[in-house]
Amino acid sequence: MAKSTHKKFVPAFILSGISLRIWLPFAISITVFILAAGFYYPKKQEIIFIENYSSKIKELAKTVALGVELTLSSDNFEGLKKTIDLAKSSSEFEFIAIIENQEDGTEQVFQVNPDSFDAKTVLKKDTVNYIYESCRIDSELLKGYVLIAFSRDFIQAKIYKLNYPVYQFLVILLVVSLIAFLFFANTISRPIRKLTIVANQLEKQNFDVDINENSGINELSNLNNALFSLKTALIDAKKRNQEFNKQLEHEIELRTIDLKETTEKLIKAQTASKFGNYEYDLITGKWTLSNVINQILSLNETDGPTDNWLNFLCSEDNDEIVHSFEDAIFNRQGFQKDFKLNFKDVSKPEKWVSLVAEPQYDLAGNILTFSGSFQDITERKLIENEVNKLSLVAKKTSNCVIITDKDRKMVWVNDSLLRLTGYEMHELIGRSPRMFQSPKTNTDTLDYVKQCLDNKHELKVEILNADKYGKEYWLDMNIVPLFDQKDELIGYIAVETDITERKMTEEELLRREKMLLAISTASNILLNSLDALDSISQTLELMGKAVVVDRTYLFTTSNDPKLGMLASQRFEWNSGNADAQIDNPEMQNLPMGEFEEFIGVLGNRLPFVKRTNDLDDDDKFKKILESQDILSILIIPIFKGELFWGYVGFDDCTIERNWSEAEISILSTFATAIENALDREDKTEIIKSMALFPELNPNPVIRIDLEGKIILENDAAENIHDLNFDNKLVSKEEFLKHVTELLSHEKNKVQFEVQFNENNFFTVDCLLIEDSNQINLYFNDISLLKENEQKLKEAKIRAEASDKAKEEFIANMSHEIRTPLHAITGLSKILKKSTLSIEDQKLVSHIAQSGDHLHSLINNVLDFTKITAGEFKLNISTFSLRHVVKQLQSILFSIAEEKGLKLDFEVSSEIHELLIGDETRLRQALLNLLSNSLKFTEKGTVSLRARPLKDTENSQLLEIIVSDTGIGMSEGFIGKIFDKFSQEDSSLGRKHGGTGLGMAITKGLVDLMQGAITVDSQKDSGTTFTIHIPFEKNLQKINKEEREKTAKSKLNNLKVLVVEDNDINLLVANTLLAFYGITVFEAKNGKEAITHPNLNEVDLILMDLQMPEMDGFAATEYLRKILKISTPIIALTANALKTEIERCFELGMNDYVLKPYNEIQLMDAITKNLNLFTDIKVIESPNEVESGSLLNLDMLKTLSAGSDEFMIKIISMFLEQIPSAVIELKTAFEANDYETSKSIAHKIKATYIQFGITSLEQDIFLLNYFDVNATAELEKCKSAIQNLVEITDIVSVELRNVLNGFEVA
Amino acid sequence: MQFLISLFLSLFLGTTLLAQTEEKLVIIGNKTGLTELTLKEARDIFKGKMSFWKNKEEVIIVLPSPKSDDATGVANEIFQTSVTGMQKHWLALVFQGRSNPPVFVQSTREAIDYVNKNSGAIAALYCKSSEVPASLIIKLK
Repeated sequence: MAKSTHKKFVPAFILSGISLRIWLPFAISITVFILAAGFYYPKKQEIIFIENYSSKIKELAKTVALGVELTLSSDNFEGLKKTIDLAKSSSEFEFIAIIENQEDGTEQVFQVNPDSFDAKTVLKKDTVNYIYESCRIDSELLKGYVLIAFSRDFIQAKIYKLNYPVYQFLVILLVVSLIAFLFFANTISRPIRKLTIVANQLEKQNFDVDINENSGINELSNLNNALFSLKTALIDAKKRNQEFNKQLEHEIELRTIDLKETTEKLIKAQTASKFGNYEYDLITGKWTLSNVINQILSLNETDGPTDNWLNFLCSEDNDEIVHSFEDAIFNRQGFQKDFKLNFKDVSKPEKWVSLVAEPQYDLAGNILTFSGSFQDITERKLIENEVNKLSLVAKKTSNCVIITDKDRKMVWVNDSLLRLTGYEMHELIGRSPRMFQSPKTNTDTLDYVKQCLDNKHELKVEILNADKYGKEYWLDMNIVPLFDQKDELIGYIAVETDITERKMTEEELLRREKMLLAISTASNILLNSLDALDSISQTLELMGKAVVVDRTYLFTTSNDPKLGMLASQRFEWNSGNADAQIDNPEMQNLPMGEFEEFIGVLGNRLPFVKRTNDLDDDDKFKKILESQDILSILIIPIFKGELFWGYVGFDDCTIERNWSEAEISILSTFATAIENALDREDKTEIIKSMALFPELNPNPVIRIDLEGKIILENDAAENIHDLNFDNKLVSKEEFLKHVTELLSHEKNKVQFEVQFNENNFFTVDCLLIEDSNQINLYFNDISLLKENEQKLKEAKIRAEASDKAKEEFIANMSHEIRTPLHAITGLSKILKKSTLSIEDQKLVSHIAQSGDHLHSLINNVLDFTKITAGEFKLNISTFSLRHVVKQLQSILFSIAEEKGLKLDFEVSSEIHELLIGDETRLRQALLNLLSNSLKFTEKGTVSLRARPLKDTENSQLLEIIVSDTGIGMSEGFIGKIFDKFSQEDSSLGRKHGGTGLGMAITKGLVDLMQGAITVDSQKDSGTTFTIHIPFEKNLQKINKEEREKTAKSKLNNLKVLVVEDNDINLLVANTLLAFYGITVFEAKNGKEAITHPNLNEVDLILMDLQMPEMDGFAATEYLRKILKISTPIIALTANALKTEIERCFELGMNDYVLKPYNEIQLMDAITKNLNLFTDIKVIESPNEVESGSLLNLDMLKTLSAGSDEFMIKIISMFLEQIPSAVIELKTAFEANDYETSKSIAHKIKATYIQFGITSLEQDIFLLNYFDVNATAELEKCKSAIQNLVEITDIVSVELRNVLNGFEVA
Repeated sequence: MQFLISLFLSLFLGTTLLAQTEEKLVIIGNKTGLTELTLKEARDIFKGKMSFWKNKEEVIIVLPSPKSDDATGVANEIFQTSVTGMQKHWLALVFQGRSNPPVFVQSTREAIDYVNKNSGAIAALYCKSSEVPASLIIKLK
């Protein structure tokens, strides 16, 4: 067998089957690899060769060029000759040429070697066929280059020659590889084929196959061994299989016996449950019935064969079954149906069976037989018939009917019950009727029902149930137990009648009865009481309890000349389920005019009935009801005659009540009873008053009839003869006639004011006495009242005049004080510059500081006066909050640093870039708050946080919080913080300065901006001011290009005078302004500025503040006061000191820009002050200085807009001026000339920042502001000057290098 | 008569003297086989058109260095161009390998020395003929 398989092996040299599958991928791979190597290797070689050759030729070109240059310079032509000879001998170039550059820019071939190449060929530079290398000749005699060309064909030939052995090697390698792979493939495939044959034999269960072939390949050897193991395992498996079959046969025998036993049990069970099975053969028409069926049908041997048992049935029953089977055959499906069986043999009882028929099909799908089951359901049918009969009756009735089984689970309900309860039939079947019970169902009733049902008794009860949605209803329920023929309980039937309406009517009647009884009692109380109000208060409780509400109360009305009718609560009764409102101040003096609907209804003597939910959400009346938890309300008006006297109310706070007409009518009767009681009380009073005429009253009293005739008058009245009434002097009789005329229209009490003589005033109250046609006139002397009133008026006018005079005085005085004050501060500063002793310097410094402080106080007083006088006007423009905050940070930085405090400012990115508002006033308000915080904080942080509180499309409500970690305020003082002249502790004022007006001014400014300011503070923990101010958004956006374009077009014809003594700053300003096409005039100091020939034609002046001869302040003052020039002036200052900036504005400058400034800052200030446009862009922080360099020229580069000329100029200026200025500063300082040193520090400060020399910023700041009297500071200054000198030297070297770079370029 | 003789002598001697003291193109050579030559011949020789003398000696061209006093005169007379043109002429020849390079000398003295020491050397000078040994001079026709 094994031999025969060997014969089938394919010879090694034939590629087929598995050998081919192994060999082919290897063959393709190696071929592709070698082809790729054959292609790429020479390519690479070519590149390397050309590179090497080019390099060689380039060297040659250099050598020749050098030779030519040397030859021409040294007249030694020998070297050139040798070079040319060498080139010829060592290189295979096509030609070497000298190309000469002519003066006109053209090229000409000077010489070419060999001369077989003409000039045209040489100059053509045919790069397709040649590769060129050249080298420049730069001799005085000859300017041009050496050009060497070598042929690409030559290179290709060279490369081919170079690669030929490689090609040979690759071909040999390919052939050898293919043959080797063929051998390996065959070696691998041979044992695999053998193993495949063996596996096939094993599959055919030929376990005798020989497995001896060994392979040199480990994996195949393993496979061989595995096959051998498999063969052994299969032989074992075969044996085990035979044994298993034997066991299986034994098991089947045992199972067959069990099956028989199970079948017998099943038959028994079927017999017990009257359940049998059958088979009905359609071909033979024969039935095969189980014994159980025979028993069900009461068939026995005497009836004969049962294979056609249908014949035993009456023809109708027989036909019905036959038709059912015919239908099943026709429909080709089984069926289940109940049949009534009546036998021909009448002795056999009628039976109900449930027949199940399942068809059995042949292969063609035809029904061959039916098999199925029979079940005797006679008993069930009897019960069902009974239920059907009952349900037929139940369906007819309008009452609700429920039928349950004996376990009291619902098996059927009628439609009436479904309608009443809202349930679907399927939701109820199988569930207990207890599901209908309401939480309020009487437990006694439920116990009674349970007891009756347990005892199988009929019962009849009235019960409260609830439907599916919780709605309650009353039922009259009759439950009857159902029994079968054997008196066994089979279920219950409940017949229920809906008696909800009847029950409600009964309850309503009961309630009305209670109400009527209460009304009767209340009326009795009101009738028998002498004090109407007291009796009303007693009856409120009575009525509240009878009506079952949560609150009853009485409101009475009064008239206010300004507010109109007011209503106030007088009495209240409360059930305890709602909060009492009698002490609620909001229930007093309610202005009735605000509740139009309410007062309209009551005014028409109609009751007001409302449910709170029915009112509109924005209805004020609804809010009042909700605040008292009222769900529904009934208000009934009470009239006293024609007068709306008040109302009585009934609140429901626990349920939402629907008041019936009858209830409202009954309660209206209660209100009528109150009206009667009030009338009766009035009449009693009248009768009393009639009976007791006030004869002895010191004031005049007159009783007249309806025609004005005097009936009675007391002694005081007899003295009245003439009086001034309605601005006319009339007699007493004439006056009384006027009174009767007026009373004919106004029948109730009327009041007049009359005057006797010059100083006596009386009010006259007229009281009509009903049923008597008489009128009492009561005169009350109000002369004293009048006199006081007049005095008050005069006092008020005097106070107002005094206030105004005071404000005017303050305004005038402030102005008057300021003028000499300027002189004091100005002169003291001039004095400081003179040669004074240190002691005198100190005194002069104190004078200047005191002057500055006084100046600040006066400004505050003036601002406050303006605010209180309403003269403070907002200047609305577009601004950037970020810009404002940055300015504040710059201004306050030095103060904070001096005190060692941290400033922490944060503006939310959500705040709109451009807002519309008064930037100056906002800045002033924030500056006040921040200055205050800095003033009262000794350590920690002063912070400012700004964010939008509300953000709409067009506006933002900003929240700006200024907080500190300072000394805080007491609770008592917080309430007074915004009052004028308020300081918590006067000693603090002395310590920290201030007038106590700052916060009042701030509040005034915030109010002026339609904002609000609040303060939160704790003693020793700090203070937080919160400002809310609305701002419109400026939605206009201009991009940079548009901005520049627009700006340029608008600024093109402008003329600006720049007053600046620092050349570098002047250059910066000029460069920036020139970029926008602005014509610039220059002045080196204030003196030049005020005498400048173009002064009157300039549109704007940029004014430096510190200048020699005449500074910016003096120049501005001169321009404004003497020359009366109103041209906008923008201060250019390196100082962000608050006092200095305030002084700028005070002298009439329009704005200021901090030095060093950038393009946007300067142009924004110019455009804003010329009202050209107001687009402000937030200033970016300058870039950080790069590590390793002490300077950063980014700012200047930005300013230069790419102009090297500018850079050269400005760097040159630096190098010319700054190092010498530093030396000057040092010399001045060492000579104790501190003013000069400070002045120089101030002058160079901006330049250092412009050049990004940030490392000196602190030092220059110190040198600008140091205290000449502080020894420690003078020591620090020495160190600062040392730094300044050293770093300026280093920076100068760097700048010279930069300058050289520019010049070389 | 005496006067006439005196005048003649003075004119002759003066002319001779003048000829000896005036700077001009002077060709000198050593074993060139030449005693005289025309200016055209001289120009051809100095432009590198001849490589060997008739006596098989290699022609060695000696020219004044561009910085020397003779350079301009020689360039004008022989090469009919400037000193630069003269240099460029020889640069082209040497670059093409058509001729051996000339020897440039800094002075008349150096030229005379070189010609004296090298057979076949021929130099073009622009000087007074009195400065040159008569034995070396090749007369220009």
